[in-house]
Amino acid sequence: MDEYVGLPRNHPESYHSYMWNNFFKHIDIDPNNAHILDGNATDLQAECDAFEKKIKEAGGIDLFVGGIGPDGHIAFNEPGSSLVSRTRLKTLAMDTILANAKYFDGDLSKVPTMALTVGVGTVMDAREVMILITGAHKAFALYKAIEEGVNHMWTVSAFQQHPRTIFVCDEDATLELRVKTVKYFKGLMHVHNKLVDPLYSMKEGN
Amino acid sequence: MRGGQGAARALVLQFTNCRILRGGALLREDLWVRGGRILDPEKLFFEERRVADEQRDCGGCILAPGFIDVQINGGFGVDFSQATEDVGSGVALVARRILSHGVTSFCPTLVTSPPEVYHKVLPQIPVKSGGPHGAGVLGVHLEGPFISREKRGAHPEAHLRSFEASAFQDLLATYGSLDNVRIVTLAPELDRSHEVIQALTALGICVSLGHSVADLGAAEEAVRSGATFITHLFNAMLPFHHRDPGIVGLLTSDQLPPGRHIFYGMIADGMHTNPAALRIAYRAHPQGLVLVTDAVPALGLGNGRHTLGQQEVEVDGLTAYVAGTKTLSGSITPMDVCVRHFLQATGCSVEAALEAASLHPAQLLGLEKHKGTLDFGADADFVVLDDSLHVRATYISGELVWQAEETRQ
Repeated sequence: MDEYVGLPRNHPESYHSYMWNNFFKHIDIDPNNAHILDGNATDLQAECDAFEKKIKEAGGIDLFVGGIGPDGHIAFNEPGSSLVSRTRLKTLAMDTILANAKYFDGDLSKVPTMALTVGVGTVMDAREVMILITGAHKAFALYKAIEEGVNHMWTVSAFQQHPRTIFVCDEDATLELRVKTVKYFKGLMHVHNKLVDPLYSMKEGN
Repeated sequence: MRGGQGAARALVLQFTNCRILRGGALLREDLWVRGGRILDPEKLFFEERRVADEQRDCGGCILAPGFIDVQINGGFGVDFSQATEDVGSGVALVARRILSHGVTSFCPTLVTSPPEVYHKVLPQIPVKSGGPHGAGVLGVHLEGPFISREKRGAHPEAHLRSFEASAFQDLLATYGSLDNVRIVTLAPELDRSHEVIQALTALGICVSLGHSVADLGAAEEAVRSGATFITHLFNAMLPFHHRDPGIVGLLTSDQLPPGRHIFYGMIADGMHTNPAALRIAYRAHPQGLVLVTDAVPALGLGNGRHTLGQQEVEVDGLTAYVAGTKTLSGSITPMDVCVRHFLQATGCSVEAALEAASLHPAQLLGLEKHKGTLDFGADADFVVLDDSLHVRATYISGELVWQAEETRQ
């Protein structure tokens, strides 16, 4: 979904490295089916346009999986991003740079300041979206994303208008939500279990 | 065939279900090989967009860089110091048989001999890459004859020499040619040794201190002249003394050139060095420890009596005696046994034990970019070990060159 600009592809903190180490090397994906933005392309906008084209040619995104930043950004769509934006070059917000510093020996001067990223509009085009939010430091962003309105200062809030989005959270991430909200969604598990129960007992019966 | 333009089209091998020694740690990673070298799979994925042509399941084993033995005098009945018409066959036999010990590169060692022997034998032991035929020859280790009379050990007294008027020329005349030579062990207290050490170092030959009565000061000067190794620490040198630690003191000396440290060979066969002494050396300077076998021709021969040259030797398990006596007749402990014993005696990590037999000797010889490591671009010489560090298979240039019986299909 994104890649730092100017960071060597084989730098341990590049998204190429991240995707290789955490995903690609563990599965048998055809390398030709793995597309990551090239943050070292000579023409960055052309690289972004080509990426949008590749998505279209592949038939669109079936499932978008991502997390959010403490500032509520989705991918690198920093506060203030257009909610109908496409893949483009973005300058990183200070919040993001500070959050990333721990991956660059705590040295702010080493953290990349720009990145190529899919736009909010690009992700909204996906047929299904799954966002993972864990930890107390994401709690406020989660509150802004789902209990306040759609707002370009908290870009992940755009998914309030997506037909099939699921946010997966842990307890700590819900710390800033209303008790009523948390109870409602937790209560759904009870309903869910009752719905799947007959299926299980049917299977055991066979 | 390694590297070169054909490499890009060569088959890509992926060794899976293994732990590899990399960066001083055992990592749960696959090992990728192409064209006889270790390959960077991430680069292959993103740049060439290729997958492996063949996957090999390593059954959860450890993959470590192939062991490097920089001091081995022969084995399986072969004596490298014997001037025969066909030295090459003897070297080849040992090279093939040590594959089962996990050794993928070695330095055939010659003990003190008369010049005629050097002149006849040295040209017959060229540097040679390893392969299915056997472990690679990195160059010859010449132990002697420029050593101390008092500390000659089993070396023949008649053939000891010192440096005469023309120092380095004497050495050259004695050995004949230095073309195939990688390491020279000498005693630094010999007169004119410093010019010799400097000359050898300038030629890229590793100078080792051993069979010597040098005090620490003389040893430090030798290191400043270029010496980088100690031959079988503790054996054939003055014992450690708290007011003059002798050569042993190099392990913790602060008089060495900045940024340099000394490497030292250890025979970790449980006999040549008391385990407590091994631990003292290891704890004092773990980064410099190089495991060597210093094996003699009786290595690999079964139990019983054997005639080796002029000697009658009795082999009993891992010990060789002068026949009919209780006198030790050299080491016959294979390298993988040394590694296991070293691990058990020092209580060090598996990684440290493996590095002592691979990375450290490679660093000693300045080969650490290609040997003794599983870093990308290095030669794919590696050994497959089970958790107790027994050798299950040996690979050279990514090719299987030896396999344990039970593993064979």
